[in-house]
Amino acid sequence: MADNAELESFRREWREEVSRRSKPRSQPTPQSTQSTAPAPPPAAPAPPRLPPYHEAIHRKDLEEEGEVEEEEDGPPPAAFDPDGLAQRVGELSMNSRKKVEEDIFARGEEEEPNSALEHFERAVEKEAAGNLGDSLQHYRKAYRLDSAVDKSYRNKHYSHVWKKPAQPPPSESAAVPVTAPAPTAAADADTENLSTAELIASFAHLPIPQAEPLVENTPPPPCPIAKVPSEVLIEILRHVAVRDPATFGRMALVCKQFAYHFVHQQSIWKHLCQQPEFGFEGMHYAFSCDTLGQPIYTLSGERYTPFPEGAPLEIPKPLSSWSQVFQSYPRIRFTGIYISTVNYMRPGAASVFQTTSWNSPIHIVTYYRYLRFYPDGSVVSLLTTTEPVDVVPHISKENMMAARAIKKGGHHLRASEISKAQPGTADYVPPVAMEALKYCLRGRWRLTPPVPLEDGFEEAEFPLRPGQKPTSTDPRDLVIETEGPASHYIYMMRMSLRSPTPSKSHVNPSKNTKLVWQGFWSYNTITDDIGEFSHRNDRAFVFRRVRGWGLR
Amino acid sequence: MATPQITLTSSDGVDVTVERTVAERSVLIKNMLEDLGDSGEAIPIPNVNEAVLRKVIEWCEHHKNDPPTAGDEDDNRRKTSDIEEWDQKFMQVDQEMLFEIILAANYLDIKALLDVGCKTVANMIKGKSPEEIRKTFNIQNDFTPEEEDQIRRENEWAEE
Amino acid sequence: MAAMLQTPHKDDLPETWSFLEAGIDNVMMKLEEGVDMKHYMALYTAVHNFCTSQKAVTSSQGLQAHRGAHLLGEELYKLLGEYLSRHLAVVYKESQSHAEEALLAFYIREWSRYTTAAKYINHLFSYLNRHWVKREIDEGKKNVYDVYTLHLVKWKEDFFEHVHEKVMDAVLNLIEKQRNGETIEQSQIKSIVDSFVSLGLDENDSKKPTLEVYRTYFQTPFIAATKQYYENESRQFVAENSVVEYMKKAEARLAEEKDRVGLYLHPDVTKALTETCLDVLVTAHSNLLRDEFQILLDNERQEDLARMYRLLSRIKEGLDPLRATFENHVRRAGLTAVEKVASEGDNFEPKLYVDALLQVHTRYQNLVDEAFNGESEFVRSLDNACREFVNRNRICKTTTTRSPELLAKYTDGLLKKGSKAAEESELEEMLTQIMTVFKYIEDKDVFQKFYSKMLAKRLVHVSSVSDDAETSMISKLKEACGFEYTNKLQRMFQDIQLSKDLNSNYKDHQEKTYDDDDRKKMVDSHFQILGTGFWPLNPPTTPFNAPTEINKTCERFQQFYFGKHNGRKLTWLWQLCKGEVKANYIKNAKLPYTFQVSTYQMGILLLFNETDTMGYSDIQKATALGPEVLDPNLSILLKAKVLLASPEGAKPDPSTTFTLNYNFKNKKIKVNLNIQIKSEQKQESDDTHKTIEEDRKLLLQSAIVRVMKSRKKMKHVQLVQEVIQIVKSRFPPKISDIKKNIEALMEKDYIERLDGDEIAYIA
Repeated sequence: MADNAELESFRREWREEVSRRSKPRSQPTPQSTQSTAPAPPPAAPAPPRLPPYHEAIHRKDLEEEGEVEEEEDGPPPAAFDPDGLAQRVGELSMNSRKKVEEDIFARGEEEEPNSALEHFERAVEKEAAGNLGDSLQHYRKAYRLDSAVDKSYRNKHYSHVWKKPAQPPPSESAAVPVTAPAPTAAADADTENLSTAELIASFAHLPIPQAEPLVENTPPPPCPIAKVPSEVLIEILRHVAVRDPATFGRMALVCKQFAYHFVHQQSIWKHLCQQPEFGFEGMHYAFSCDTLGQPIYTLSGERYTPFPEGAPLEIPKPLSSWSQVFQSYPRIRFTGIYISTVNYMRPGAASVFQTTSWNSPIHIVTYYRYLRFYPDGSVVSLLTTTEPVDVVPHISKENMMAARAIKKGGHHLRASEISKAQPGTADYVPPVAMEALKYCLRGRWRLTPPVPLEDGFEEAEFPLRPGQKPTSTDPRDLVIETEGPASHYIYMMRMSLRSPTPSKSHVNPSKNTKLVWQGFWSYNTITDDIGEFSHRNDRAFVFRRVRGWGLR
Repeated sequence: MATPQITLTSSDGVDVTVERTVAERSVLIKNMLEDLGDSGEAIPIPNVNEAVLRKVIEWCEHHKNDPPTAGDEDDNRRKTSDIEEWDQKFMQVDQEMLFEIILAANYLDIKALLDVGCKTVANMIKGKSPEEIRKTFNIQNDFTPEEEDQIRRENEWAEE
Repeated sequence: MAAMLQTPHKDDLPETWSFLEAGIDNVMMKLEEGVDMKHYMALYTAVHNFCTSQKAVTSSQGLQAHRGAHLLGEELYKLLGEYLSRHLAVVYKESQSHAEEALLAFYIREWSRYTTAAKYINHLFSYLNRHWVKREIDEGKKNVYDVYTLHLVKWKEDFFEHVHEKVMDAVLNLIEKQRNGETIEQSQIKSIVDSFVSLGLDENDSKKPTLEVYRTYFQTPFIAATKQYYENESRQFVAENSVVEYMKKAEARLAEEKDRVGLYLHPDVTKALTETCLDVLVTAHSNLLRDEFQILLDNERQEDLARMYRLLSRIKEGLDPLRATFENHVRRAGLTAVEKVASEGDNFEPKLYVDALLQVHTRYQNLVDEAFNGESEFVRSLDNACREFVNRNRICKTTTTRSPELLAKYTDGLLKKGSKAAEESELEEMLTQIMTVFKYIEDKDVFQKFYSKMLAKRLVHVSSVSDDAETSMISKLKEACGFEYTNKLQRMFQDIQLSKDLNSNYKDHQEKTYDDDDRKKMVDSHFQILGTGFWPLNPPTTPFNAPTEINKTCERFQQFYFGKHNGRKLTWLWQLCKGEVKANYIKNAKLPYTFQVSTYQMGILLLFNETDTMGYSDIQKATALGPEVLDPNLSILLKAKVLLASPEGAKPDPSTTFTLNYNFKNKKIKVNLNIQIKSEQKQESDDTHKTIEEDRKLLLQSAIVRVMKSRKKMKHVQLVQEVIQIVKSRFPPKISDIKKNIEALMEKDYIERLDGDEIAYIA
């Protein structure tokens, strides 16, 4: 009963806060929708062509969802922000910088929050992840420990916004975090980051510093790498880069000499751009397999690639270095999963909207769309309610086929055997994952070629959105076709590659890791009918790395 | 028929006799023999000591029948990140020796060996955090915290 | 020297460089003394050590945003370049004291020393090449080369640029000496060429050689000198010698220059050199050469004609004017030959005519093959000329169908028994020659008509020289004109074969049906069944009562034949039948004479079995023959004195009486009375010509209908064109004839005229 009292008081506080409205926005809670939004979340169709500055879209999405906080200050801490949501999904167990390579999808012991603020933060996370039950518990604990916890939270996370005295209550678009690098790198690299460039240039001739002796006055531990000349170091770095560009990035933080090479060794970047594992040789600008993943053999054999080897290449304007090309040229990642997390809630009874009773039931539905891309042009698509931690590490073509085999054969016992027998899936696949994997769909993907391809680009551009030009040449447009519910159906998705909005809690400036919906259709190959799915509840995909994927 | 033998003198003055074809895995030695002819004299290798020289020769012996690598194959070679099993075992030496071999291969111009060495080092780096890398190679962090932070922000995009 | 082995401190540039310079200088200047391994390794190691030293270099690189990481080596590269410039300055200075061949020798010696050293130094600096140079080049930096190429670049900039004119002057003088017949040191030029070629470097990729330097500094002056030389020489030579001599000279010079390329020039020059020589030696004098062509033809100077052909065939459009001349020449030769035949009167042998045609053709065919390399354009000229003189010459003046008629007759003469060409191979060759003429004949249908008439006769009279020769000829015609052309000829041949079988069947039949006695009384007989449609034969023009003996024989055969082939109709071609009768009545003959006679003659003679004397009208009544047949046959019998006329010497006419001559005398026992009558011959030829006209009309009409049927509608002009295309392989149609036949078909309502000159087919 004590709990209930606590909860009641928490709710009261919250309602007061809502009614005040002049104050900086409070943390959103799931109940907010319940109390203020009489209509279910309306569909928010993505505009056909997203402007590069996607903050605007965010705002639009939020507004249309009828958030009560719309007049409040500061950026929403992501009640329905798909990016933030997914980022938190990723963060569940990620202690971001210390253990970079840690598997974020491993079920690990979460550190228990201690302070009120920590509980509050955790509550926000849980809520964002759609885990409303846990979220509520953390909110409760937070308020129990400190009734003004929401203020501390605001001070911690949003002070930079509302503390600026000269500014009127900032509009949301002004709330772009000032610390995060802006998405258009080319323009910024020369201006804002000039100092960094200078800094790094000054490292040019610094030697690799040897570690100091562990015990004073003893010889320092041997550091043979310090004797290696630049030309050989570069060769080593090149090998690191083609194994995993992320590690190459980390090399820049080892010492100044490496930082210099990281920035200045353009031949490595060029090489990265040209190779298939991470670079653009692995991008497909025309379908290279059918929806079931069987390769298509074209007569010409020549596949378009933006940076072919052996030909003199120019850095595409307006970029000025190969690292920028690698960074900002549209690129699909094979080293992880793209996740779209959708939360919506449905009232349990109609009366809920007329009453302030907190006891009315609400159904909160969370589902996920997962996309795993392969360099051969195939893709695995999964729509499920199974949470990322349970299923993501197991999403693969091999496991999908294994799961399907079980589905057909009905032999649950064989699940682990099959998954063991499949190459690349040595790990045991837990039943919960196996169950979800049954619903994986095979498919194929391609990017839009920046220039219209000549022969072999036979694809009929369908279906078109009204007013859409038949052939898009925006190289950030992605087309996915997957199996449908029956063999004569194909699901077609059109996405745009966008860069994620940097948020306070998760700064990931990797370009083009977000997939924004353009449209979603089903196509009946027999009748030639096209049906469009409504955009209701569709959220952008965000990219999360998964350990061991796409690396050599 | 015995293949012609030549003698190499290490930097610490030890003579090592080796088949000419084995020694010619080193483009340096190959060029020199081509330019000067084999006078029977010992060839001084001023930059490589006996231990390393023997190690390098061991590698050359094993690979003496490999097709010679031309400059154009450079890129093809780079493309595969695999190291063949024998080479992997061969490279299981302490770090000092590993880098000595790399330096010797670079000096003697034995591209394939240099490549194996670099790949081995790359594999030691793969997947590690900056701190772990520093630890592995006994490198001192020479950044100030501000510098480190600045560079971290600059390079963060590369994480994914 | 021992001190040198101490490699310098790697961080110390001046020390490193002075160490290296001493070593390089040794390689450059004293390589013949040898370099030992220790030095070699020390030099390589010094470069390596310097490039791998990690000293901080004070360079003003500053903010080179996208340049690659810093690699060491630039200083060494620069110093090496400066050393080479210094070395080459000395070389240049020395070169100034040399000229002509001495200069060449100097250049070659220095080049060889320099490039040998370059190869060494390139190896010694290979660490620099591998890293610093490679990086600079990868980053697209201009004017950085691998060390060997650096040597070449320096040689070009610091030496070559100053001396190439002088060197080329020496080279060109040397070549001129050789052209003037002197012996020279060819290998010198070869070395210079090689050096020039080596200096060609691609701007973008120094590893890719180009011929730019060679072309600019060697080829261009060389070609200019060549042009000058041969302009002078040929002008002078032509002035002093005959055209024939000049052609020999030019040919020799062209061969000589071609050899020169192989001896010491770069193959790249071949095209330019050849073109220049041809320009100066041939094109410039081509009119002179062409003017000589007619003279050479007239004098049949085959060898010189061949030479002229070879020379002119190598320049653009060099031969075109010759072709017209040649064609005219051949046509005139053909016309002249025919003229000669015609001048001997109208009654020449067809052989004479055909031989004349063939002779001209053969002569010039040989010339084309031997002198003109069988070149297709000359073959065409020859064909044009032959077609002209075969179809339009003095003998054909009245009618173009004379040529095919004469050719057919000539062929008949060859294929008929008794021709002189007994040898089978000889005959075959003559038939081939006939085909040569046949190829040029425009009125091929005329030939066909005559040929089939004559073939029919040969077959009916069993007078072919051999079946093989006949089939060979037919297959040749078939090859030339197609199945349709020879279809009837083949069918005729077939009928004769079938008749042979039929006769032997008939013989068997007779043996079974009649006993020996009966058969003894019968006339020995042979029958030929000729298909009406295939044979160019007409039924008899005169009624005829065959003698009873013959009639009985015929009836027996008919009975047999109709038994086999019910419903067929047989028409007896009496005018083609013949037989033999024995004259048992003649008194003073030991053996009875045998008369070979036509059936008509037999009909007359057998009347005299009953009586010795008969009046004209009695004979006519008994035989029913018309006077046009009866009279000439009686004349033959009178002439041969088988019958005697009364009154004596009278011509056969109703008042004449005929008496059997019991005192007939002849040297031969077999007397041939079956002689063709003159008027018949003439008649036949006229008839043939007439049927040709008729056939052509039909052919034209069927062609018109065929075109219209498929096109339904077309312009008049187009129709005429298409019809010409269809029939021209048979004869050259006159447009007026086509128009006439179009009109005729309109009248018959096959086609109709629409507006705008269009014609439509009426289905």
